[in-house]
Amino acid sequence: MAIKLPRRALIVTAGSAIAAGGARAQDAKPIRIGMTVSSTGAFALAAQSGLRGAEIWVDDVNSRGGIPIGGVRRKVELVKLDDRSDKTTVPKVYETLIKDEKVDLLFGPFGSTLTAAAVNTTETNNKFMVIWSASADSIYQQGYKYVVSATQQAGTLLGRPGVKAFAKLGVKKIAFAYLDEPFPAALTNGAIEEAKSLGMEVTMNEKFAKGTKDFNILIQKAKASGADVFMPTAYEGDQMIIARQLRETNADFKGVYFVYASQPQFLAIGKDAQYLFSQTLLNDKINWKVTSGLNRAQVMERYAKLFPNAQYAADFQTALAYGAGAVVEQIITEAQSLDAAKLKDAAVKLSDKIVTITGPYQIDATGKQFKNEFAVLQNMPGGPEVIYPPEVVTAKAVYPVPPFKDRK
Amino acid sequence: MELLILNGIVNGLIVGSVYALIGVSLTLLYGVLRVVNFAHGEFVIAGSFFAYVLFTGLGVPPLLALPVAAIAFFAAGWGLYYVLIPRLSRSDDPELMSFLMFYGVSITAAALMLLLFEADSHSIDYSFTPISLQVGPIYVSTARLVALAITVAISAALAVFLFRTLPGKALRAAIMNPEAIQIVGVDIVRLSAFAFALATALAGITGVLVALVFPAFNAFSGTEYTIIAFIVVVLGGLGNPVGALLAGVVFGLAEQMATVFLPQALAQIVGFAILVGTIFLRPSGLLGTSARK
Repeated sequence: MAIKLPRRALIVTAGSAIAAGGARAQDAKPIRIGMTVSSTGAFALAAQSGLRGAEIWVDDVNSRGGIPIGGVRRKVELVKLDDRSDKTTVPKVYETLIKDEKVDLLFGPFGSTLTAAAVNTTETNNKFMVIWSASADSIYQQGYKYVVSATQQAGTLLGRPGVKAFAKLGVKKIAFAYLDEPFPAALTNGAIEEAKSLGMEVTMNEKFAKGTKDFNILIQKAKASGADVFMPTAYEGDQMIIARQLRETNADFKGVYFVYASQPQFLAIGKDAQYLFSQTLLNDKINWKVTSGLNRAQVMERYAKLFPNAQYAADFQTALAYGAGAVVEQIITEAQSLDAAKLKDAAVKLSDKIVTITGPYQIDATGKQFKNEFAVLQNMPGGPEVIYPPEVVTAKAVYPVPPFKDRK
Repeated sequence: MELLILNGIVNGLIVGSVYALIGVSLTLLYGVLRVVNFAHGEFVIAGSFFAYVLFTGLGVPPLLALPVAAIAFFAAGWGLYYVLIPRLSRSDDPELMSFLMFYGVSITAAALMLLLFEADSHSIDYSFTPISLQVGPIYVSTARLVALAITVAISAALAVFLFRTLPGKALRAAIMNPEAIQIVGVDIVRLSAFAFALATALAGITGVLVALVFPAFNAFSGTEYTIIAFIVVVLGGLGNPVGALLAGVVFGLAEQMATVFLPQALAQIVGFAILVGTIFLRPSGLLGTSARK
């Protein structure tokens, strides 16, 4: 049953924002794309950051007259409803989008939790859903027919670029530690598989509980395991504490990898962040040769123009959602239809043929995203530089990193 | 293994001293006022943010921020007492209501810090030179040694205050028998306000030390410190400041040694096992006396 939402909760970003485009486009029925956005709750910041990316794409595609279907350019309308970061609300709101708002296709909500809640509804109603931020592998193991992750790589693949980069640097022994939560666990387990497949020896694999404040013994265990490289995965706060404690305990590894070490707030810890390896999707230094949609610099320019009063700068959620829009445009153009089955066929056909702001697009029949790999960065004295993958490299990695006593 | 054990003992003592300080202000508050301050962790983190603002905004190093935090948090605590506590006394069950009210204060404080500092983790880019000292085969963080020294100094000052001064003796008397102390003419409201302010000042100081020892904090970090504080308070004996000091060190050592012999993920379970075990086997805690009716 559809829920009743206040009228003001329904916001439509219409093609009217841009007057450009031919007369036929203005007369043609717009393509209505539904999505939910969290106005409150734990996912609000990330969801709204992603929304701004989707809106940049809508603005861009409409400024070009829309998407051609059957010789007619059709503009895009983004129909947004509030999910309040609540997974119990999401199915009802997606039902409303499909049955009351009569959208043609859908973007997923933010994150794996809400996306997993939405996908049952979209599948039941035979609607095509494009995922832009959910990484849980389980979504693609349910046999859903009409989902595609346009830009978000599956969780178990997220930790692999770092391991691949280390393999290229000649690393033989690697120690892992991770916060016992789904995202760090999935990332680490994937990284361990990759390390083993590349012939590395995994010298330690230990998890720690949320709220752990002292990592001294964990660091000593990793050091005693004989690892060349230490890869502890958690959220940024824990990682910043580990980085400080590595320096305090003079624990020299040949390399240390933290997912968030190139983020501005991490770099603010100063010397502790030097020479750390990390990964990200959006950075001034990561510039893919884009074949679909705007490139990074252009998206940043549009962001500044469209959202001059945004409280936050564009982040990787913005890039993921923008990239998903660019993929959707190609899928619709290829399918020449808004039918879910035809859109899915087109999505599979386009696999490995598109590069967006976040990198190459490659899916399998389940819709799982295999590419859009994170780039690997290293914090050099002058700032982070990209050291992997080769297509976007900006500097040669410093490996082994200098011991703490030799750093200025 | 010997090296790990040595590391565990040294770090257990140091981290335990910080845990002790986290617990001592909570237990002081409970002892005098019978107030269960569920927002204690947020007060601690507010101290960390206080040091952050002084350092990033005015360049004040964390050690100099300590006395400033003590004065500012003491004043804030004094004011907060008159806003929050007198109303509790009109409740049928002040202890339960204090728990619920401070749960609300905890959420409000976290939301305020979120508003002011956003959700990202913050850190103070400050370290001592040298950053660590080599003691035999192990390296000990200078910040931790400084935190240990400050904790010992504060504990000694607190002991002198509680056992050698008239206001301190009055506080201990209020913990033992609040009715009797009023009969002999002590202004219990003023004394309670002082206890609340003192506990808040200690929380603020602890926050500055936390920013030095565990150098990343965000608006939501408070809950983790509240849990530590409750473990320490229960282990030490409700309302017993000396017990809390001892319990902090015992908890720190137990946690560290658990990480030496068990997977790191089990270290926290050891903490909670101590909490549950204490409640079952020695509900009065290490140094606590029997609970009052």
